[in-house]
Amino acid sequence: MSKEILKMQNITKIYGNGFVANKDISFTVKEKEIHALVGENGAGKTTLMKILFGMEQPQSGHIYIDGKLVSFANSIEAIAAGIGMVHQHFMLSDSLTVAENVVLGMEPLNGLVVDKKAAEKLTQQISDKYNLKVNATSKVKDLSVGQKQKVEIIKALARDAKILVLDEPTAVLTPQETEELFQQIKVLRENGHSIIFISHKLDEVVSLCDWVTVLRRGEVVASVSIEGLSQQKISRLMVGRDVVTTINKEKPVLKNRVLQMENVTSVNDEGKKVLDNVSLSVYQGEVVGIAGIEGNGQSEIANVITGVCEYQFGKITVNGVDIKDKSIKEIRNIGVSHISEDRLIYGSAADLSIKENLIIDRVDKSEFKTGPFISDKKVNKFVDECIKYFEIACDDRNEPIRMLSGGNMQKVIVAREFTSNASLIVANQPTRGVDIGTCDMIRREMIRKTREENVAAILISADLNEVIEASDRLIVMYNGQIVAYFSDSSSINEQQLGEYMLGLKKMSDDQIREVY
Amino acid sequence: MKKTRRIEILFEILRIIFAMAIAYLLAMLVLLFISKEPIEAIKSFAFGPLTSKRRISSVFELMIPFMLTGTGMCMMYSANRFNLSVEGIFLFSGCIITLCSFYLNLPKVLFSLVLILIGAVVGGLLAFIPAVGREKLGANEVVISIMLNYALLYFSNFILRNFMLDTSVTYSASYPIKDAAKLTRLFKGTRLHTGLFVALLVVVLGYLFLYKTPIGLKIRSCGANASFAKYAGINVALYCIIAQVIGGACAGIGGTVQILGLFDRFQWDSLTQYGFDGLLVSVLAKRNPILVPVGAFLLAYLRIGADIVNYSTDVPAEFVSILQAIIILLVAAQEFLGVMKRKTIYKAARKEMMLEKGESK
Amino acid sequence: MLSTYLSANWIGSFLYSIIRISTPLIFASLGACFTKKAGLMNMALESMMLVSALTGVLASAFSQNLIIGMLGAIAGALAVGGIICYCAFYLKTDLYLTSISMNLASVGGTVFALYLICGQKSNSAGILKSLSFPKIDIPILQDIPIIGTALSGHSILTYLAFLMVLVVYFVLNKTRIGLRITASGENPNAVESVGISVRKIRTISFLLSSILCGLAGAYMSMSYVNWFARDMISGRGFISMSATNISNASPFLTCLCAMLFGLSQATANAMQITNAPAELVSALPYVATIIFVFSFAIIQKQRAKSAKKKILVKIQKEQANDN
Repeated sequence: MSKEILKMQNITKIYGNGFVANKDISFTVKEKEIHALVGENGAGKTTLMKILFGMEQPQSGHIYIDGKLVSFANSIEAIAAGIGMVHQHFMLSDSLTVAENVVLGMEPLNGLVVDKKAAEKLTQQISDKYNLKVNATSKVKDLSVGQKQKVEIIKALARDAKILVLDEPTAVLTPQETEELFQQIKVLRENGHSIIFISHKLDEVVSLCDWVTVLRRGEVVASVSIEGLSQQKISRLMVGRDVVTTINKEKPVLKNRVLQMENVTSVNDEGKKVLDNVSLSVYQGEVVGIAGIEGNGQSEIANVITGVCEYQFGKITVNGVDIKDKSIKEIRNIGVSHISEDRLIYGSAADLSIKENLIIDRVDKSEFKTGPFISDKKVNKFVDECIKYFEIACDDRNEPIRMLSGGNMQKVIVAREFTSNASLIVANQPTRGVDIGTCDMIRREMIRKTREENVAAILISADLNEVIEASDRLIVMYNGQIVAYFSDSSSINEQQLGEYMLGLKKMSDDQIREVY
Repeated sequence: MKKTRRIEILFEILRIIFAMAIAYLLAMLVLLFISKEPIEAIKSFAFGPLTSKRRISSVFELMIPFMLTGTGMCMMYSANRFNLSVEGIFLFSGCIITLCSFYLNLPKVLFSLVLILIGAVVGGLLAFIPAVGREKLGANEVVISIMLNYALLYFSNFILRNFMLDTSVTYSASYPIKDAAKLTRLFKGTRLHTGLFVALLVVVLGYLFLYKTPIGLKIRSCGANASFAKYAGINVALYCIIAQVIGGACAGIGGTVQILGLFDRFQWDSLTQYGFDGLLVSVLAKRNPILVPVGAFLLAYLRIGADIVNYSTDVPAEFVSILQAIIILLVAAQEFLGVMKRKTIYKAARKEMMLEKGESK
Repeated sequence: MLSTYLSANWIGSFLYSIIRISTPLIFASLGACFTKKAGLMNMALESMMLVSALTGVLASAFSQNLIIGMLGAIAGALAVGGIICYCAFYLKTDLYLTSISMNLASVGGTVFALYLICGQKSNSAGILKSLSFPKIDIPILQDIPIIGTALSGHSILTYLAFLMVLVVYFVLNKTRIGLRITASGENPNAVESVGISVRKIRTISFLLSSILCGLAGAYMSMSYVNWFARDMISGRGFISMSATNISNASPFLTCLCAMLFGLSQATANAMQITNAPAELVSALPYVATIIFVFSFAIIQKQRAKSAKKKILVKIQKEQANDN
């Protein structure tokens, strides 16, 4: 038995808004171990890791490294103790080079001046040693997502990290890139590092890890060897019930065409084609899924349809109306609703109340007004209905939305967008970062609306299981283009999708054209 | 969770009370050290404003411009814009309506109303300049509005010297304003005038506008999160411009009411500072016009106290400007009393956790 | 009339006055480069300059030592910067609001202090025996017509201001703190993730900014004029901030922009002797700043637009060829 390298004991953390994120958690990692930390969103994984990395202070509990009691007032102390963190969102400065990012905070100096040569040498050495294949002199903005992740790993290694925390590292990777990452993680283990691997993807956990700790609602429910564990067993531990990963739905009955995109090309301010000749139709009664690695044009499809971004070539019609040069509001009035990709940035205003967040797109409608004023009575009736139907857990409709948990915040946004009488729902990452219960509810409600209310829906998701299960037809985006079209989502698996997402394969133009 | 919200509100109120208390204590400390007659000075500062009918009335007189510029700044601040042109507009609209009053002949009341309307229009138009620069061109509104303030000061001086200077008086002032244009005094022996009602009306209308109408909600949503507002289909530039123009109009009314209520001639030759006072009031009022009278009262009381100190003792009134900054900063400081707030919340949550555990056992 | 303006002597002294007027703007706008690179806007340049102008005069008057005077000015600006950093980064007040309230406090506060020390509220002239920085005549250069008049005989601080352009460029682009400031301006999380406190970097950027504003303030009360007067900065801080914004915090362009603003003030001064209305002439630098800021914004917008148009035309051609 190898020795314990990290021990976190009786950790309790309560946030400023009264949310208890960690309740009396104990957590142990051994040397040369790949240790999975799993749990639903809001189970407390991220908080626990922030405490380990000195970014948050627990109210009680102790941390031991190599048997020695430590406490981290900030990240610099955690780093000095040999902890490295690869965050879910990259912590890189785009205009600087890889080497500059790696040495940031420990810059080699030549007199007063930063020694860029030494920085590049150091970076290249680590990259070569662990076979990470990154060029030290390239600018970070020119790298792919997978490469940026490697820069993060180099950053941690350059600081002599013994314990490496990877926070959902595969969420943004293709299956092939994931495979490569796993190989590299194993190399790290051979070199004596311990890895804490946070993931939602249980198949990855089972195939890669040695040990698993499961958190539920801020508490440890199990910490066991992975041997002999099945995915089902882990998921039962996570949610306390079996997760239904398959969604039973009726075959769609297609009626009128709602959305028609014809040869749409969109160029961003840097002159890059973010959408390249995209043609697509969506009909009443169906969900069309869009899969792809982030940044390959999926969000841009959502944004041109909803009027958030402009497109320069081609034609888009919704319900037969050309939306060229129409404002977001006009497009909403034609019948488009939009669940945007980030609920905190685009989906809600943290300081406004639940009520105000729910009615913001429809305050002008006479059904919510008396004379020139907003009618509290009419609005309250609607808001209460939403809270009840969507099971939004809150104390009061007037409380600021920032007081809600992520899942409930998302429910408010979904309630707004699903009740706007739209004929086309554009849902961009509607279930990102919410608990499984809420995910399930959002997917079911979306499918119900297509089946029972003749709505057309577009579902963009990084969760391949979700796009496959929840959509009827499916396209794959790569580099701004549609590279694959499946007329029946249930006929494909994640591995096949991955090859298209990575641009390794592409269907013929005729096959792709069928989606139009 | 409900508890958390209650604690938050409690601490919000505590913060304002503590900020005022600290500012007052500090003021007294300053007076203690620099005044030759410290007891007298402290007494005048703390209670001076209450010692005579005239002084009480002057607190209310001072509240009038504070309420108007305060409501104006609430508009700007609700859209999260620091359009400080309120300062220059206050002065310039006073100048313009004085000029206009010489060319108009209208019955009493109506005359005042027409001039107030002109002041509002002038204010709205001027506030439009930084607003459009910010929303349409992305130029920083603070810079433009500050530059505009200086420009308006000199334009106002120019108009005074060239178009309405009364050379028969020894100081630099306009011809006397017609009596029909002036606002009526409310009580004998004080200078309190009907402008008070104008100010209260603007406060109430401002509140209804920001908190009860669709446009108000849209303005506040632009201020709370502009990207969110954009995605929800709101024309952010348009609503931010509306907020700033209306804020400018409030300031324009402020300058007009001030001149018509208190002065016989237009004689301002430097910026009045009422615009910046409006910013302070709006911070105290937490951007909500309905709380503006409270903020205006606190500030007016402080200011009159300082004035009394100024002319009854040997301490210049400028020391309040430091106090005001302290009040703004403490009220706006999220972390002031933050440790205490978090501890209270933490305790409440712990208690709840214990209760839950007890129940499950 | 026209001939007076075209004489070599006049041109030389006009250029001289541009440089003289631009000096505080160059200092302050270079200061703003640090905060701009750190991703923040320093709207308190105004109060930093005003306070340091006063503390500089006081320090030099009491010590009768120029270096102490200069250090006093810098200390005054640092105090303002320190308070702002403490409030905005530690007590978490809104940075704009903090800066604006500091500007307000400094206007009243300096008058208050002036009154306590000098017994009057308008200026320190004749009451405080403050020093002023020496003027330097550059040998050989001073004998060249026009150029000599324009470039020689400035306050030593003026030459320091131009030297500072290089210093600021060096610090921002070559040193450790410069790298960290740039990184934190672009992605604060990147800096935080390697254990550097963003708060600290931001504080440092504000303090560096303060030092330069301190020099600007020292110049105002110990070179530009030789006393402290109330409100003597009158918008120069904001003008400097515009210069930094327009030039996107590149030290060389910033210096150039600051001189452009200096030009408008110099023009206004030159016009004082004509019979143009004095009030309108006084308004000129402010109106000019508004026009500059607006025009640069429009030009930038147009440039982006036409660049995009070019790309679109190119793509259209490509697509036509494909078909």
